[in-house]
Amino acid sequence: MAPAITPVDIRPEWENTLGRMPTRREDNERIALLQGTLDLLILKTLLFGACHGQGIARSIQRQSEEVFFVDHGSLYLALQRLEDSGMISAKWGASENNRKARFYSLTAKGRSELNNKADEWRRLTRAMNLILSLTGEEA
Amino acid sequence: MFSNRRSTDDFAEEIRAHLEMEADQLEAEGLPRAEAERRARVVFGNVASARERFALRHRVQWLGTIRQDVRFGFRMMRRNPGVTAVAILTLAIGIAASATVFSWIDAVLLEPLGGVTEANRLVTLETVTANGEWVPNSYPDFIDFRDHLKLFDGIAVSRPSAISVGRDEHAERVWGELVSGNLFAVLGVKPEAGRFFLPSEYGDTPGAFPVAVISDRYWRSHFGANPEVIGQTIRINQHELTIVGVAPPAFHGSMPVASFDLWVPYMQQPVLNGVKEWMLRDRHNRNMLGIARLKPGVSIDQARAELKGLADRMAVANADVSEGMSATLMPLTLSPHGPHALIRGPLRILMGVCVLVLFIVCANVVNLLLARATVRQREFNARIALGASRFRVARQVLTECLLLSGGGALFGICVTPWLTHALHYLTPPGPFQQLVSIDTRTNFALMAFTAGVCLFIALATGLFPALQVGRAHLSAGLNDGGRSGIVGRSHNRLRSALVVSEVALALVALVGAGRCGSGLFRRRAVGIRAQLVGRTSHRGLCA
Repeated sequence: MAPAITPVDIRPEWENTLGRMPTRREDNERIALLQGTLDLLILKTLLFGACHGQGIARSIQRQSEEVFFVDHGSLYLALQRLEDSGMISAKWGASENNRKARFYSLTAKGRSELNNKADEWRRLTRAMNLILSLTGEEA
Repeated sequence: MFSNRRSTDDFAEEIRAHLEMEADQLEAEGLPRAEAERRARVVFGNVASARERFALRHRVQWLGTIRQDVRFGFRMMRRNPGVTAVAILTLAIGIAASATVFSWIDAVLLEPLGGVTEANRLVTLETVTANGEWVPNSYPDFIDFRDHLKLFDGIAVSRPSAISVGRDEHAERVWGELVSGNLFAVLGVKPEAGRFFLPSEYGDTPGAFPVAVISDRYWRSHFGANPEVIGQTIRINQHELTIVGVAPPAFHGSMPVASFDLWVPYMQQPVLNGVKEWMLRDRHNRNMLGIARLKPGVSIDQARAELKGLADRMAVANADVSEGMSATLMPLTLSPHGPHALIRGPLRILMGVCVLVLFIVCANVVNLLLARATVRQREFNARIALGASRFRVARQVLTECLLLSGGGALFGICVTPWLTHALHYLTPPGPFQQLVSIDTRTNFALMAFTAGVCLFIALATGLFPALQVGRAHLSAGLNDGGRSGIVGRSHNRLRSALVVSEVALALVALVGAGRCGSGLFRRRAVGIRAQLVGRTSHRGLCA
């Protein structure tokens, strides 16, 4: 049996400080991800083609082998923010089940942003790995 | 970012679509439909909150922080009631003084006549004597000007006059104007009730027009604003005149900063004042103040040239009385007759004094705020250490200053109407002193001015403390700042500089006030004879 995994809630930290003081009650349990992570995940998902919000959420969950759990409300706000800043564009269309859905697709600006952010992320994880994989003798 | 804003309805629609698709998928994974829909909603979380965050995504951040700033500012004010009260009172004095002087300047220099239309086309018409003095006009000259000049929409004359109203034993003295019938038409005033003089009443037949117009103020105080007053008779100088109309509240007559209550056609003068009819035809009798409206697009220089040409020809034609005389035009505010001519000069000095007073007030409040800076500095350091940005803390300081100056402005604007009446005491004693009156209703210009002063004070007082925030050294402030560490030498230097400049400003203000006072005093001595009685050998302006 697979070990129980604590899902990582993807919720940008800045949203907690909007208007009121953050309530840390529920957030203690979850691992807060670095700001901008959700944006990066969205951009990456859209690299494979236009998709609607629900599909993006499912896709992130599935691709991360259910480690990441996407907070849906935050996802849509993040989508809106990306759209406002021109990283993605949106269009109403029909889903596979013939439901009305808003499809998002990557713009040229979003594509280059994805490349930059992905590089940054790789450098970060590589550095983290280097440090975490040090053995006793080397340290 | 705001060019193609998405509606919240569109966002709600998207969320609804999401819930349906999620439910579809859960159903496909084997859940019953109802359970699938429930799960979709549970997993999504608070839909309303998401919609709210969407709607407020641009606004919420700064709106929320402004509210926090204001609330925190009020809390700080309450915590130091003494400092707050002193600061607000100081500011109230400064703001009230400057608002008062501004309302005088507004009445004398900026908007000399209330209730008129297109005041920028109105000019004063003056006769010029052979030795270059400006004097009022004679009625026959006025008729010539009125009938022969082409670049004017109209020329009117008026003459202030004390009038007794009522029967012998109850007679009351009221200030009115004897006017050419077209005065209201030339000024472009609209009646509050009834009508003004008709073109048929513009004529030059002595004693033919027993009609009168009353002011809004007189209408309210003596007739209870009764509209049936139109058509009633009013007893003026023991003669019955018919009230035909009421002037609007903003209109006080054709003389700046003076208020009149009655307007009677000049041609009633022989009946009312016992003036001989020949005097109306006498070109020596120069006692009519001229006011003219230029045609649209005509410059004052063009009109002046035309007027001068005519006046020069008249001086030749009537050489027996007008030899060497001419006529000229000038803006309303520069008219040499009336109370505004007496206070115009001192008012300019007063304006300068007022600016200085404002600076002194600002310096005082800055000093007050810096005195508390020791305490505040530790608080600011703590806030910065807790993660507030310096900009945010500096904005907090500015918000507090704005609250203080806003409070001061509130008090100041409350006492301004009373202070405005003090203009009465600035005017040299004499007939004009009773005439001087100023519209104390708060107008838009005054409000805008006060708001501007308020903002200026907030910036001026908040700048130093806010800059100090920017320079604060965190660790130094929190650690060895302790009880006294922060008030370093530079801080003391700043406060010393403030005190020195305050004393200097006060000195200059004192000198200015002295000059203003002595200017008024001189005018008291020589002004009355020269300005009021008239410069000609004939009957004075205010007979």
